[in-house]
Amino acid sequence: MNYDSYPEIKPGRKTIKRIYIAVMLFVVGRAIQAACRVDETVKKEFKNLKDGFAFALGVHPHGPWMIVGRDAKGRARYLGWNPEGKRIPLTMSIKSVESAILVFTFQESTSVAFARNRFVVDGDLIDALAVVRVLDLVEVYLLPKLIASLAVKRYPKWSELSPVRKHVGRIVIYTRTLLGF
Amino acid sequence: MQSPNFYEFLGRPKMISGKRALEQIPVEMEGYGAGRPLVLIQGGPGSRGPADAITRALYDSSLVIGALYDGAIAGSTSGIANELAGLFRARKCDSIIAIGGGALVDVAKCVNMEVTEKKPARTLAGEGRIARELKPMVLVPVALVSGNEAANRAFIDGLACISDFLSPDVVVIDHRMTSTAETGPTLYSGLIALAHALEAAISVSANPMIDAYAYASLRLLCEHLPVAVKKPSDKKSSVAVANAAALGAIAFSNAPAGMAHHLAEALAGGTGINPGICMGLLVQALLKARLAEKKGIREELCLALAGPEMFSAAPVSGRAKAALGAIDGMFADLGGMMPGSLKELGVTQERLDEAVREAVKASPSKLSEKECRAVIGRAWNGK
Repeated sequence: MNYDSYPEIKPGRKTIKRIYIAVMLFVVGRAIQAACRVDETVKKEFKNLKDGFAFALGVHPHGPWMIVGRDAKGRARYLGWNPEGKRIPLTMSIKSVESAILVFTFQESTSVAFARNRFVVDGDLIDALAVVRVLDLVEVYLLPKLIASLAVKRYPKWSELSPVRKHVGRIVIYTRTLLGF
Repeated sequence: MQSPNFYEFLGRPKMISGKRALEQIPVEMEGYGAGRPLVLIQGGPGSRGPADAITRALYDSSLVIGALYDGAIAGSTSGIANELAGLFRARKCDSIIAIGGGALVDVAKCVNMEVTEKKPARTLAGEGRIARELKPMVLVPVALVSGNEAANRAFIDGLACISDFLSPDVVVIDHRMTSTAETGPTLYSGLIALAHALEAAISVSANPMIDAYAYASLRLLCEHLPVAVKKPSDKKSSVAVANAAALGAIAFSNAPAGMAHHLAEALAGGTGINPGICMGLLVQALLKARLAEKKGIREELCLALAGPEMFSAAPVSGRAKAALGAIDGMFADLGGMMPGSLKELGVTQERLDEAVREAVKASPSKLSEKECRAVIGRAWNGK
């Protein structure tokens, strides 16, 4: 057998898909920061987390990543895309780029992806569930109902999130996301 | 369901099935501490498809394919196992991904034995001769399967190696691989799975775990095999049949090989007829024989074969008949691919006698020659 006929193959890159995921993570990260200043539920979720808490959400093993932390006042703060040198108690990594594409193109909701074991959680599971709840709410604000219904476990009823609150919140969150404050 | 007095069950391997399942391989491999697999793919026409799919699935991961072997593998022999073990060592691989079925998977397991135990796989033939965990191995079923791929055995030079360590660590079922099969291999694989699951469920060592695997396999086959055979490119059905084959193999590896299995192997060896077709006809005849002898078929098995609607519509005394009717119906739905009897396949009565003798000789569980004759006679007549 001529061993040279059977080559070594180094893994390639799915550049376009990675760029798409990076953009989505950037938008969602800044939207979490904005939603924490607009929505009471998100604010409360972050208040309940420990001081110095931060989480990274991204794709295993090479990223892209999104890091969001809790500041001293209990508010969410987007900390960028690079986890290096940061203290991150909770890392939620999606097992592959393709699994991340399923989540970020809303073919699979975050909760279904969790249930299908597409996420690896390194850290406190209770905190991870709080993050999933926050992500669900942020998606409700960012996306039209038709798409958000696919992305979240249960779309909130009128009694839980009135249309006025939702639309006003959406405008403010989008503005803050774009301007980054 | 009866409470068992005693049983053993080996529940390996881990199964990953469905959308984007191939892309889970790198994380699974990392979990085993592996990062440089030897990838084995059955060569020949159409082999580029699976090779491209697996290469793309490993993009953006830390896995480097040490070597991708896509040459033809005609059978599991010491020669090819030894050469591939050499390739494994030369490229410093630490794990194996086998994409295919039958001889290719046997060879992959033998390579794994050689590189772990550092002795020829042939010398490890027999039961329980492997003393440690082998290198991590992922199996991706593609088309024709022999029913042993997900099981705890491998064959080399016609000898069987049986060990708990021979089960693959992970079986990954993805429609990008399964829907490339053709009609014939899909049918043969489905029939082998049917025979394995059914024989495990009616064997003396049946237990709740075997039942769970066997019933799931049977239900999947009854619902999806006809569609998969008529249209092998159907993603949902091809994945269902691949799942059924893996589940059937796990059930079968925990039970002694039954009469239909031994008779089919003996018949196929002498006549060249596909073992899957023989197993299908024989297992149908075996059920008919049991029914005729009023030996009874357990209620749960009837439910698995007939499905909830047919099962609940049938009177209690007629449920076994409904189960048999379901198998007959499934065979009829196979679009004329399934012959009605062994006679139609040109098997002579003299060959039946030889097959019975060979099967009785090959069976470690002392099959009854009389019962074998009755079953093979039914399969020959198609009654």
